[in-house]
Amino acid sequence: MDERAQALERIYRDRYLGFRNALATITGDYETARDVVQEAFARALKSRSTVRNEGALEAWVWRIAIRTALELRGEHPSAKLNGAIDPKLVEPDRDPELADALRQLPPRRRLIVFLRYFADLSYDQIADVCSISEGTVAATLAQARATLEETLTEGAKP
Amino acid sequence: MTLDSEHLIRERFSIFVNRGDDSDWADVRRRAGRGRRRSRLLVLAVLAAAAVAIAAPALGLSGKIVHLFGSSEPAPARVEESFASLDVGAPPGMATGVIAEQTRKVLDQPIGDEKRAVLWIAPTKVGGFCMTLGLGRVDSAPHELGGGCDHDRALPFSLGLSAPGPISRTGKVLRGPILFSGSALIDEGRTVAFEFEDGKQATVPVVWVSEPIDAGFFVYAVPEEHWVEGRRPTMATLKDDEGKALARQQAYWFQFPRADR
Repeated sequence: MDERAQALERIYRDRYLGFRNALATITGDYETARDVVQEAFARALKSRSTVRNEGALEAWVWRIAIRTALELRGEHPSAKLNGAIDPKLVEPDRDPELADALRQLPPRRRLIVFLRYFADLSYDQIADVCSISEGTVAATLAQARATLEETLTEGAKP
Repeated sequence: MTLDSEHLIRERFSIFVNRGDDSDWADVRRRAGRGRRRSRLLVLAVLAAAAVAIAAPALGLSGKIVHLFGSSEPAPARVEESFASLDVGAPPGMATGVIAEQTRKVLDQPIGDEKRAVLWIAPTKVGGFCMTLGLGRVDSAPHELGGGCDHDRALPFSLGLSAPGPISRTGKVLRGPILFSGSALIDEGRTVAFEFEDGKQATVPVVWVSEPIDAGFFVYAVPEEHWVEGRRPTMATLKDDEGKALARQQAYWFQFPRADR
C-alpha cells in the first residue's frame, strides 16, 4: 500500500466517529452516514493520486464525504455548501433546548458548528472544507456561539 | 446556564455524540476495488448481479477478468520513454499528465501466425490512462504500433484500428495483422462483440485492470476473411455478462479521401 493510502487509513481509523456523527446531521441517521463515510473513503482511495495538497488530505476527504452525502439525499453534488445543506441534530430530543437554538442558525453556520463540535475539525480544516477563509470560520463560530448562548440563556430564564 | 467558552459548548454537544464504533476499513478497500458506487441503497441490485454471476458458468456467460496493475510486468525503458515523450513540448492544456515511469504491460495476447499483441498502460496524474499497442513475434520483443490517452476518463468506450502493414489507397489490406483495440470505463463491460458486413459476429473478452487504472481493455485481431469488402467489421458493442449492450462504436475501416487514391 502506498503512503497516501496509508495516510487515508490513518485518518479513517483516527477520525471515523467524527466523520459519521457529523455526516449524520446531513443524512438524518447514523446508518446512512456510515455508508457515506465508507463510500467517501473508498472514493478517496480510488482518486488519491489526484490530491495536490498532501497537508489538506482530511479536508479533501471531507469535501468528498459531503458531496457523497448530498448525492444520497438526491441533491446535485456540485451544489454550493451554503444553500444545499440543511444539517440537523439526529436525536434532538436529547437536548430539545439546544436543538431549538441550533435550528435558529442559518444552515451554513449550523454546518460549521457541526464540523467543529462533532467532527472536531480545526478552523483551517473547516476553511478548506467549506472553501472560505479561516477568518470567516472564526467569525462564523463566534457569531454562532453568541447566538446559542443568547438563545439558551433566554430559554433558561424563568 | 451560560455558554461563554468553547469548553462549555463542547460539553453541551457531547450528549449527542454517538460513540458506537462500526468502522470497517476492509469494507472501504473492497468498495474502492469496485468500479462504481454501491451504497446500502443498492444492496438488492448487487445481490441480483451476484446471482447472475453465480449462474454464469452454467449459462456460458463470462465473468470479470481482473488484472492487477501493481503486480504487472513493468514496461521496457523504450516504451516508458515513448510515454514520457507524449508531454514533451505539449502546448498549455494539451499535456496528458502521463506518469510514464508507472507503465505496465497488462495484456499479452497471441494473435496467430506466431505473433502476439501487447498492451502497455500508464496512469495519468488526473486519474486517467494512456495506452499503446505493441506487436511482435512470440519469441521477440514487440514494437509499438501507437495508442492514445483518456487522460481524464472522458471516454466510456473507445475503439482504435491499427495496421502495421501496407494498405492500398482503396483500403485493401496488403499485409496483416489488423487490430482493433480499446478501453471501457463502464464497470459492467465484460465483452466486446464485433459485427461484420456479412452478418457474422466475433466476441473478445474485456480485461479489467485494477487501480490506479480501473478500466477495461481489449484487443481483437480481425481475421483475414474479414479484410475484404462485403465482410468488413461494421460495429463494436460493449456488452455486460448477460449480453446486454452497454455502448456501441462504429468500427471504421481504412478510408482514404478520393483525391488520395
